This record gives sequence, C-alpha cells and structure tokens, in this order.
Amino acid sequence: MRVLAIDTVTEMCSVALSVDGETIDRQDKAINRHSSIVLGMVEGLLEEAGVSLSQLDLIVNDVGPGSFTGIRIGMGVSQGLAYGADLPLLGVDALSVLAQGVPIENSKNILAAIDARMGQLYWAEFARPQGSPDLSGVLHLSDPDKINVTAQSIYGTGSGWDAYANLLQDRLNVSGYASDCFPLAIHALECAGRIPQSDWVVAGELMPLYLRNDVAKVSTKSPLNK
Amino acid sequence: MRVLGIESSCDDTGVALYDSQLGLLVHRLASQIDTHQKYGGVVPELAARDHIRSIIPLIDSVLNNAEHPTKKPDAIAYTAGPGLAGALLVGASVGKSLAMAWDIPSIGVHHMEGHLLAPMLEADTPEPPFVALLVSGGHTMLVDVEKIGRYTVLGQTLDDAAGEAFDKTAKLLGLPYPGGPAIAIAALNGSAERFHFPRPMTNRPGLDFSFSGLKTFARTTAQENQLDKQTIADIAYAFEDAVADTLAIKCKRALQKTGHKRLVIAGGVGANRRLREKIDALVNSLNAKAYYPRIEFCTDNGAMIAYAGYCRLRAMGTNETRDAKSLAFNIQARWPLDSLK
Repeated sequence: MRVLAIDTVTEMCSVALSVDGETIDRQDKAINRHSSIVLGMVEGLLEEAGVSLSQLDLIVNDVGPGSFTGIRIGMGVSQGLAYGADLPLLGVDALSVLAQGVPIENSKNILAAIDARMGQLYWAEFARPQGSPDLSGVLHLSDPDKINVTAQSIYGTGSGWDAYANLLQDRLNVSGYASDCFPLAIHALECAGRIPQSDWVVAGELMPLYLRNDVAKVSTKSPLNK
Repeated sequence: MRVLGIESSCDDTGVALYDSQLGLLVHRLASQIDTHQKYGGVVPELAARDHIRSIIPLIDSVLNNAEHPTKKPDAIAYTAGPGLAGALLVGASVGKSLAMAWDIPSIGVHHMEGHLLAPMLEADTPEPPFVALLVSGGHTMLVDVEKIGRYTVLGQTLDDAAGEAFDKTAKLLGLPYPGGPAIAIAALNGSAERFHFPRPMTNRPGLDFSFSGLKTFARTTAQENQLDKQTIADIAYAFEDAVADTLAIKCKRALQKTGHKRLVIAGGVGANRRLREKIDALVNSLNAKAYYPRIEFCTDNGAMIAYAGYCRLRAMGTNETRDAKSLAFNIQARWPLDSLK
C-alpha cells in the first residue's frame, strides 16, 4: 500500500507518506503559511520515496475540526491531487488523529481538545485498553466547563490544554497533559489503517467536519432603524 | 492551448474551458444566492463552505461535457485575488493541486483583469485602447486599458461599490438579495417625478465615485414616507436612475479625458438595463462605441478567468513561466489592478 496523508487543520502543517510499511513525514509549524508550503512538502516526500502521485493507492486527509481555512486548504489540496491522479480519498477527524499521537505509556484514557476560539473547545474522549485509542461517544464543541468524561482519570492532549489547563484540572482527574501537541499527518495515516476500504470516497465526496455551524446570524432588526 | 478556468473570489463558483483554437468550449456556474439571501449579503465563511462543496463536482462536469470532453487541460487559471480570502483559497488550492497532479502550468489571475477581458469572449471584440467601467458588488472603477496587461485606474469608489449600494438599498426597502435585479424590477413601476436623488461627486472634477451617501439618502427618504408598494417602486426608480446617471457621467468624462472611442462595461451592475440605456445614449452622442459582455459574463464566471489566464500564459517570458510551475498558491485578498505588469 502507498498512502499519502495531509494535515493542515491547525497551525502545524504536516504531510506523511507510507510506502509498503515504510513511513516518512514532514512537519512545519507554519502559521498562515500552509498555502505556500504544503504542496512543496508533498512533492518532497514523493521525490524522497521515489514514487509518483499516480502510483499511490489512497490519500488521507484530516477534515477537522480545527481552523476553518485550514480544513479547506487540506480539502482543496487532497481533492485536487486525488481528482487529478484519479485516487480515492479518506477523511479522518482531527481529534482522533490527535489522540493517536499520545504515547501508549501515557494513559489508557485520553481527552483530546483543540482550541475552538470564542471561549470554546473541540473535544473528544478516547479509551485505549490496548493498542489504538477508540472514540468514546462523539466529537463535541462546547465551553470548557461543560466537558464531562466517563473515565476516572484522563490524560490531556492538544492546544485546548494550553488555554484551559487550570479549569480542566479543577473539574477532572487529570493524570497529565501535553498542550504543545498537534494533529499530525503521520498519525492520520495510522488512523486510516484501521478504517475499512468501504469508507473511501471519490474526490468531491469528501466532507469537512467543522462542528461549529452557527457562523452567521440573520438580523431581526429593521434596516431602517439603524 | 486548452485552459481550465476557476473562479471563487466571492459568492459564485465558476468553472470553464477555453481553447485557443476553438474559443470558449463550456462554462458552468454554481450560484450561492440561496445561501446568502436570508442574510441580505455575502457571508464570507458560508461562501467558502459552499465553494469547497461545489468545486470538484463542477470541474468534473466541465471536463466531462458532452461536446468537448477533456481528460486533462494544458493549463489552469484560477482567481488569486482580489476577493474574500477564504473563498479565494478554495479555487487556488484546488487549481494548484490539479496542476501538480497533471504536471501542467497554472497561474493566478487578477479577478478584475478577468472582468476587463470578458468582452473578448464575444464575437465583436473591442480593440485596445479602450476605457472600461468595472462595476459590481465589490468594485466600482474606471480603467484606461492601453493594451492587454497594461491598466491605469482612472478613478474608483471611495466607499461602497455600486452593487453594494444596490444590495443595501434593496435590504432597507425590504426587497430580496441580490439587490440589483430586485431594484430594477421594482423600479419598472416607479415614477420619475416623485423623488430625485443626488448624483454624488458629479459637481466636481475627477473620476472617483461615492455611493454610501446615496444609500443614506434612500434610507432617509424611506423613513420620511409610508413605505407602501408604490413608494418602494418610486424610491427604487430614483435610486437606480441616480446610480446609472452617475456612472454614465463619469464614463463620459473618462472617454473625453483619454480620447478613446471604445467603452467596455463589465461587472454585475453592467447587466442593469437603465445603465445600458444611458451608456448607449452617451456613446452615440460622442461617436464612440460601447461593448458589453453577455449578461452571464457580466457577473463572476470561470470563462473570463480561463481567458485572462490564457492571455497571461501566452505572453509569459521564461522567467515568469517559473511561477506557473511553482507549488505555492498564495492569494491576494487586496490586489491593486494597476500593480499588474
């Protein structure tokens, strides 16, 4: 299997390429520069591995939640490449990718949280009796003081733990946390490995996962009374 | 050379194929009017969300058109600015990535250059030099086109674009979005006698525009009168007449200043019938000629981007061709037209 993964949903821009079990990747903490560098990073990986785009079997893309623009850059790039090279696509969510990156010795239960701005977090709880983390419940968008977990003790990961570590530690039994962790393409590859081929889609059918959908308000005020 | 054009700078996703031998082969548009209508204007985040949803299916339908099915074009042109950053990034990311996958050149096109060149897609094309009035929801400017690629902005709006003033005035009259067609329809039943709106900045020299005062004048008039159906029609008439008149007066000055005998009207407001009547009368009186793109190419579309991209690629030297192979897809939300070379 030859699989390319792209992750641009946070300030970290990353790509990874797996060729018959060998994985290489690139990471660049590139705030507002993703559009300048991501395709060059892909080209660099393909050259290093000595494969062409059309020789790939699949492109994996982190479809969010995260920065809206970041989500769309990743989707634009992965869909453009997949359509042009006639490849299938697989979308994975950013919180699962983030949880996948937590070292196995750190915890059996994980709270992955990405700063959603406006005083809120994208978050999800994962259980890992062994091997890979499994999502418990669903992905959430909420105020940090609305977070509830089922596990007795959790390990935190992601930028959500940067702004809200104290608040979360007051509310939850936290065994430790790492706030400077980002969803990475190399972990997206690992997530994709556990998803059946029946979930692969063609370019044009990849769906973004914004979670926040109330992005515009209809004004009820009469425009005459401004 | 066959060029795939992608437009996503505002609230229309447009895709087209232009062939240097055969001309325009196919063009398709995914309009977002339904998305933005209830907000009375374009919501940038919703625009970007619609673009990313529509763009690949639209490209697919254009390439697989019945008459000229095209597996892979020779080049890609996408709108790189000016416009809404999030919206522009959709077309740019898809355009560059397709170009990388197909190993073909790609180029970021200036949206307004696309509008300027849209009349070139018609049978009767204007030869430069000419004056162009670019008038839409995002822009109002007069441009001296000495030749393709060489533009001098003669004047532009200091505040609202004319199309924006149409939208805002329609909103306060309770008319639907987009405001241009809504006001034009309402104005058909309006009286020319009841209200008279000012012609902003026409009593002093210069080619700049200002439309925000006209919008305020419309609001004041609406507040001072019972807003019944006839009053709405009368205000719509007076407002439309004032905008069209103001644009025509400035076009006249621009033709006189440059000495050019050809006038191109481009952009969404260019579809307005009252404006066209006034422009036709004007060019007749000056022994000049007006050129209008077909109505569907007045508003945003992929065809003009494909054509402008083709012109740029054709004119490129070796140095610039490097940019067409670059993998960065930088966009410019603000991008002055006269900075083009």
